[in-house]
Amino acid sequence: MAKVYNWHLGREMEYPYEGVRPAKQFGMILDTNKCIACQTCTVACKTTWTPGRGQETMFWNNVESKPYGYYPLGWDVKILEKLGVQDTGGKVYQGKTLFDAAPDGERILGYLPEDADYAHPNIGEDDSAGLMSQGIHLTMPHMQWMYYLPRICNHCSYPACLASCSRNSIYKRPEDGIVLIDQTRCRGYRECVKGCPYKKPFFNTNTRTSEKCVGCYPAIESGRQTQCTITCIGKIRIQGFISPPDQAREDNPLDYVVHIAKVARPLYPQFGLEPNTYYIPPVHVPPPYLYQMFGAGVEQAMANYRKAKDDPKLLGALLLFGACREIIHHYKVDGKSATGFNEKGEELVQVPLVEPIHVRAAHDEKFQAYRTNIT
Amino acid sequence: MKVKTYICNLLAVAAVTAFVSPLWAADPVLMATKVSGDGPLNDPSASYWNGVKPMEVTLEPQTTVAPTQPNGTIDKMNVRAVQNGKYIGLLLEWKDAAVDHLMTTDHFGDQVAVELPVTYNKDDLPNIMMGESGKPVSVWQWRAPLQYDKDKGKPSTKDLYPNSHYDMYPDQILPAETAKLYTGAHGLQNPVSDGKKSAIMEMVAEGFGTLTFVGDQQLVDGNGLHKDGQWHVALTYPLQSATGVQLAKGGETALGFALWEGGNKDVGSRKSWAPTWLTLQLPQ
Repeated sequence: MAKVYNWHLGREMEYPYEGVRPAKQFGMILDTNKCIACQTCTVACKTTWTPGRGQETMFWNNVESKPYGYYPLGWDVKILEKLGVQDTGGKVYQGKTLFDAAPDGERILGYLPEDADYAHPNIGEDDSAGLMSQGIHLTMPHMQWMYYLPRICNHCSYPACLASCSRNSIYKRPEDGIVLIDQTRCRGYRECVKGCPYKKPFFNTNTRTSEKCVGCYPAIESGRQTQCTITCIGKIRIQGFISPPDQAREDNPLDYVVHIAKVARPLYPQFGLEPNTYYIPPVHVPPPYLYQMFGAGVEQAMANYRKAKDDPKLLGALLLFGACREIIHHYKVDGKSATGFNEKGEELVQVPLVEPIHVRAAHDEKFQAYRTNIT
Repeated sequence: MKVKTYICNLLAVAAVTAFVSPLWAADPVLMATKVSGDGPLNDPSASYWNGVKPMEVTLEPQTTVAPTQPNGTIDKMNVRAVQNGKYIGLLLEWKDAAVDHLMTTDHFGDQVAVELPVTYNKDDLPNIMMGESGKPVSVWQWRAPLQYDKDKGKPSTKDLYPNSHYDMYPDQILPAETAKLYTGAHGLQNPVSDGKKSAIMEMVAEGFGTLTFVGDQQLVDGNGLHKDGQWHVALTYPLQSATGVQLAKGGETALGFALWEGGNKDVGSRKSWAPTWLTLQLPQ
């Protein structure tokens, strides 16, 4: 085992291979406060990548309701239970990673889902954390809660799938950090399906190989964001490249949101994979639940998100979510708008920080109609 | 005092002996019985196996290299060898009441494999665990799911999940060339995706994680048959060939064995294996 530095844990950890960071790292930020689980991302991904034979129940992108939705069934609670209660220890994680917790004769602590676990991708949809008794009325904060968690492969810095594969069929691209399964080498051992705690590699019963989210690499190679990002009607996502914290660039919207404003958090960082999709936590959910899911720093992220209007650079970065199809490498904020640029510095998009307000007369003389102004 | 010195000397001799013996020395000897004919010996139910004495090979769970299978369920198989001057034939037989040939996420297939040095040198055998750099091994692996494809055609999703329903597949609505983009490993001729051509894969390895399919260079052929609660798998290979394993030279080679019980979720390195080389003699 080699020693690698995992900044999510704030410490070094053991990993089967040397830690080599790619030239650029594929990253994504998802604002859970804006997701309505319309599944447009799921369908965009499905029709692009997995409509074929043997992929019937395969969703590289899925959106599940939390706390009772899972795809595959119980994926996170099962591995959390196996890992057991860990000492999170604040800024530096003191507990075991899944690599530390590997049983004798295994490369990682994992489990293979049952076939039926994939049968109900939308199980638990809209189920809230508890029952609403009859006659109850709305109070603040909400007495019950739920939220939507959209998920793709995290293209981890220390992928468990890659570490688990005994055939060396999985690789992390040095140019963009996208993690891929070589479909000519894979023999369908399902070690990656077993090893990945996020359960994002899937077994294809027709090809008899394992398949996973490819990060829409043909789009990335031509400077375009992923299908799930550009089709999102709620504009909850931004996809681009994320730097390690010591190389954070203030003019990269992903770096600004994650490293500088500290508004987005990784999913289950305690597993030790350094996942590269980040979530703006749902601000109405009790912090203890979110602490387990997004690690230390989640309360600060929620507090900073609530104050976004006071930080124009953060506001600008958030408004560039879903603003264009191309990958935004740089952005700048002036008094009234945020502008996104591609890698060459060419302008891609400009969005106003405050939408202009138009107030119409209550009665339209021309059409002889009454209007209602809404915000 | 004398006794102590004697024991010390004995230990020293033992240590030196262990050091100078080849680590992967072949132990028992299997003779290939001469049979008539000159075609491939690929039929597990053929009469040429009759009267050929089987050798029992003891199998152990693979617990040396992670990921391991500490709980192996099959601890022996019988091996027979024949040759007709053109081809060698190996018949591998083991008890397995349940046939595992349909694969889903949590269902694995029965498999068996034979391993041989690509170039045989009695005094310098490769590491029996997948060979080593500069000393490649050839692996002939038979898979029950591929045998199913060969015998009955590839199972469809409907065969695997009788109650499933799916609107339409790309190959039902798109031109063949475009639909091929959605076939993944199948479209890339990954040998595990379709057993129509062969139920066996010929592969070469020079250490862990290097096992590679030889593709069009494949010379091995054979078939598996499940009968009377046992698998019977015949593998055949030409004694002389321009490429591949040179069997005829020297009149002997070494064999290694591995077995996967699908019902026990054996797959990849999670297998049972014979940890020492077996010598195969090929009388001219």
